[in-house]
Amino acid sequence: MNVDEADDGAMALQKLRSGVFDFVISDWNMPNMTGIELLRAVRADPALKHLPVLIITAEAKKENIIEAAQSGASGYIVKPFTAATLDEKLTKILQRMQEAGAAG
Amino acid sequence: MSSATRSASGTEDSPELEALFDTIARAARERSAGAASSGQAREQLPAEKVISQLGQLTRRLHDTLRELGYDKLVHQAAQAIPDAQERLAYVATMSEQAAVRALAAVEAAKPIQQRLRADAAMLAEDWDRLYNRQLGIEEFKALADRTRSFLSAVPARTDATSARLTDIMMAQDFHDLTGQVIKRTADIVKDLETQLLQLLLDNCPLEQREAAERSGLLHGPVIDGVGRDDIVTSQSQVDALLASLGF
Repeated sequence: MNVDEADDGAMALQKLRSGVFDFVISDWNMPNMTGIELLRAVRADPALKHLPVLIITAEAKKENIIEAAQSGASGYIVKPFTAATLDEKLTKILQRMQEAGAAG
Repeated sequence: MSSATRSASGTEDSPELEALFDTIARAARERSAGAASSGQAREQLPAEKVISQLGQLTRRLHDTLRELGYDKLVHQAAQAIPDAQERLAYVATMSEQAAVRALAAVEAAKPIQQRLRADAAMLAEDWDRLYNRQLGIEEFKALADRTRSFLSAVPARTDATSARLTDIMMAQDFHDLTGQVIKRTADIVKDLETQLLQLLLDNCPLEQREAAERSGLLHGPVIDGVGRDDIVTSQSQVDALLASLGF
């Protein structure tokens, strides 16, 4: 598995557009472009909109979670989190993608 | 240093500002008087009108603030902000340095531990083979040699790890300093909030007060979630909320 990282949402979007990625994990609170803005930009981009986006953030207000869900987040993890939680969410998202792929 | 410079220039500015307000207000009065007398009020350019109104508004705000004694409060508040900024920048620098130090120490210690483990596992395997009578005499001698050199190298390697652990501990000393700085900054912010809030409450129309409360989704971590129902306090609550939304 190849992992690439970006300092903020703007750089992440640039990298996503110039490479081949299968999965996006993003924080919410970042300079230049926040995670929710990145998520919206990904969903608005025909070439990227299929990408699963997992948000990992300290933002624990319900309105944030609802906003992320409505913007098309594939998962939402609140900090502090454990490796087990991350593993569980990743597995779940990938499973759901496989099911969707098989159904389609 | 910079806050001192700023406050010094701030006091010097006041008479100049006042002179400016007076000029604008006077010009506006003269213009409206002149316009009224010649019956050309409607021909005044929109931009000029806006500027003159702004001037009058600013003058009025300035006077009101002074009458209420708020100009001192605002002045103090404006001085406190750069101070708090500098303090927080200090905290950010200190904690970043500590994080870098701790990460570097972990990165240095991990390979040492991994090699130690791998070497020990390999020797143990060979010793198992010896006990199962699978080793010849020459192999046994080589094993004894390797075991001896491993054992004599262990203290140096654990010392290296131990030094890294000490590094990590020492990197935490900033908490003591930044804790004090943060406490002081929190006090500044609290004062500032009280002053600005009072100013707003006295001068702000109700509908604007409500509009100001709704802004953005960047709240940062929740410090005290007790008794609040607008936040989640665990991943399972996040999952439940998402499930209720059909995710």
